[in-house]
Amino acid sequence: MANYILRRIPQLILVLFGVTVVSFGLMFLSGDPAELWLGPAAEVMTADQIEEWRENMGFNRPWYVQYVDYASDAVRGDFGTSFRHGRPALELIAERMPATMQLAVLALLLSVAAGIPLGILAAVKRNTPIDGVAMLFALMGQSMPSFWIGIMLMLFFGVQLRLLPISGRGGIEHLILPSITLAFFYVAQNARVMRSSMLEVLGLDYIRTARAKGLSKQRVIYRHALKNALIPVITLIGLQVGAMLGGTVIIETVFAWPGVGRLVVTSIGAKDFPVVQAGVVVLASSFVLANTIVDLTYAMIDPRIRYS
Amino acid sequence: MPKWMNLTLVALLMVIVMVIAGCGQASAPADDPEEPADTEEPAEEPSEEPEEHEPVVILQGVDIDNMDPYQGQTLSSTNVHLHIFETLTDRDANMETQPMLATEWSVVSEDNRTWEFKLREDVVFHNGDPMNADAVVFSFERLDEMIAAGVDADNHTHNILDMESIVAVDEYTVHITTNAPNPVVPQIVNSMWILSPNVLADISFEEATRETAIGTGPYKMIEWVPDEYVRIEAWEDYRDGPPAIKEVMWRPVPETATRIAELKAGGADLIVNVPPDLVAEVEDHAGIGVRDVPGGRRVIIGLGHGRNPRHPALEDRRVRQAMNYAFDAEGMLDSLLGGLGEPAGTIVNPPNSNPDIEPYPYDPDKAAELLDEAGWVMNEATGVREKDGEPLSLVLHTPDGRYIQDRNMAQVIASDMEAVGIEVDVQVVEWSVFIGMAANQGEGFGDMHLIGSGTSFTWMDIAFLAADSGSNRVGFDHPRFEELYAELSQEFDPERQRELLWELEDIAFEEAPFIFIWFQVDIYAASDRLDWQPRADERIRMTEASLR
Repeated sequence: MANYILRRIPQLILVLFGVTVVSFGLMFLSGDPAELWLGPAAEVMTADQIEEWRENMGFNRPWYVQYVDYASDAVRGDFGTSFRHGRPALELIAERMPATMQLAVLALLLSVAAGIPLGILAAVKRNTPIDGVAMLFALMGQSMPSFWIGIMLMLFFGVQLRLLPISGRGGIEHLILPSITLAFFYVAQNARVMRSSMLEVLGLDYIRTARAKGLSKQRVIYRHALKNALIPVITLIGLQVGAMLGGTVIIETVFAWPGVGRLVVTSIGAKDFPVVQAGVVVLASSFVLANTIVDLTYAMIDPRIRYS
Repeated sequence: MPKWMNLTLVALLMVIVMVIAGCGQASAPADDPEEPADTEEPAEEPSEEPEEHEPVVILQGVDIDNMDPYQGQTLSSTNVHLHIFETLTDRDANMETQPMLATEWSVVSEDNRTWEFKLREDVVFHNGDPMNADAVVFSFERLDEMIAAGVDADNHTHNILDMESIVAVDEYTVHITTNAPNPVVPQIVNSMWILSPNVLADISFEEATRETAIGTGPYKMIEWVPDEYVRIEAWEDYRDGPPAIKEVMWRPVPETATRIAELKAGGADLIVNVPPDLVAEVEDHAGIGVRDVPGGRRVIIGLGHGRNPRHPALEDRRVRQAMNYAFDAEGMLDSLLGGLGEPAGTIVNPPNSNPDIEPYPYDPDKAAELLDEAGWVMNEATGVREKDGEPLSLVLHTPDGRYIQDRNMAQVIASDMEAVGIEVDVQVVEWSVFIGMAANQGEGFGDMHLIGSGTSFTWMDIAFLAADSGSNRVGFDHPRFEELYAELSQEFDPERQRELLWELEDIAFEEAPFIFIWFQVDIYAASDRLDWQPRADERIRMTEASLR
């Protein structure tokens, strides 16, 4: 096990290195930082003034010098000061992390609690109307953009029925619409994967043997089939944890949820690069971290993985 | 049905029930504290009788940036800060300059560089500190210090004010001396927020908090939860009596559809930036309505000529005028904006603009006549006018999404031009590239460019065409204009200023360096209970509002 962890560490570092390179490159890919950041102000500035600004901001140095500078600060958690807020960028991100986590965790629970039973149901009731309805639901969940689902839920539960608050953060009730919207896609994904994995397992010899022993159908499904059928779903959930942290960007914007994703989006609009960079690195790192943790758990569950 | 399936179904049902139960519980306290959750009656009472203490909720697109009004430079920030802090002069709802913390002002030095401001003597800060000359001097010098320290503070005001020094002459008199004679000092100081030295003198520029947000304004800062809301509350001891609206909550809601949904559901009283295509939807909903106003952003199509020579036809004033006659501005506003807004004939905003200038009428015959006169005759085979074998074929650069309907406007104008034999190739350019083209007086632009420009609501609006102005991207070069403009920029007499400005506007109209489009309309939507009218400068003031 220790061996396995040791093997994973260099991978982790490599990924994080890649993330810092990408987040650093973002600024240059999106055009001339001076003109992007200064925006309309650049229109009325003279070339000398713009050059002076570049010098003050350090943008006139070679890119690799800027990168080393940036990376060594970033490693120490210093992404610079937000242009817009005048406060450390990482601090702004950290402040909003709890809101994002809250949303992602609840959506994850929802997607597991609804997706897995739905998948099992569809597999067991294969080729019946129940299966048909469940899979239609899954197809819809995966094909409708969450942006649209969010607004539809908002209009129905918020504007028409006036049952739920439309946007913002507050009590538990404020969590309902955004977390359902965020979970929608993943419920569908979990249900589909659960169904096909279950079908595969149900066709295996040991299941037939179990049935032949005279065990009840229920016992076969829950004690014998489910355990094995869950393995691909667990992998999937691992990926979802990370994806949800990043996937909250749209949900947070639609529901005015004060999380990291939305801060990053507004910061992109305001050309607040330190915050964008800190946000990208933090979100990407949590993705990597979540995956690593899942992989480790997974390795604990399934010996084939840690010995291969 | 096997037992396990029952279990699964029960589990599913439980999830659904939990969600619904959550809904029920949530709705009760949030919407209607008086009634039990299971009531059948619609919860109408709160909206029928708006209670005085119920906060007015305003949704802007973004959050405020900072508790320091000099560092919070976005409009969203300023809208909140102007309730907390005040300035020496103020811009009223008609965009006229009025006294605020200063009672009167005048130029007092021979060289026209020193302005004297007399202050009100009855003003205190929220914490009881006196507002006096020391506070004014402190506030002005603090901005200088911030900029010297590299803090991203209000550079724009700092540059236009161009202050050399400020001194307290006595307790209620200050002298502001500028580096060069500056006739717009009374207007520009309406962005210089007066802060209390007792509160801020000993803390660093980064430490502005709710506790330091202490001004002399009609509201007090109560709470700021970043990205969630800002709450302000009427100050009971305000010198003119407390404002009618007791509490205001500002929430940042980035998504337009969400802002509109909140307004419909009664979760907001006022929202900003309603897109023109959603105006009808808002109007159709009971209890809310659209409020629009011609705003401060002038949108024009620049025609490169003079010092920025492009297509030779544009050098001829008659061609430029013809393009204005050929443009059906009313028709475009009807088709693209459902009739919102009005065509413009100048780049100066009311109330300073010359009231005698009427926009160019839509008159394609007149346009054809002028083009013929200028020697650009129609080639019937191609449908494009020509002179000496050269076709009247122009390139128009436009951004997409920067101004309301910018790209569609460019297309409409291109088809209007084609109707009179001017071929226009509309090229849509991504904004970051577009501003690169706009730099150095628009050297990157093609023959024509669609651009908008903010306003100062002073005579300085006409600086748009001054030879040394960065925004003069059309290459406008007119000796008489320069002469008058030089005189205007040194003129301190308001009457003479007006005469000069109006003459400059006449020249701009006659010379037609642009196709004048409009003053971009600002569209808000509000609940019927809020009695409020939008201002041309996009500032939202709850002191100008009341609850019906």
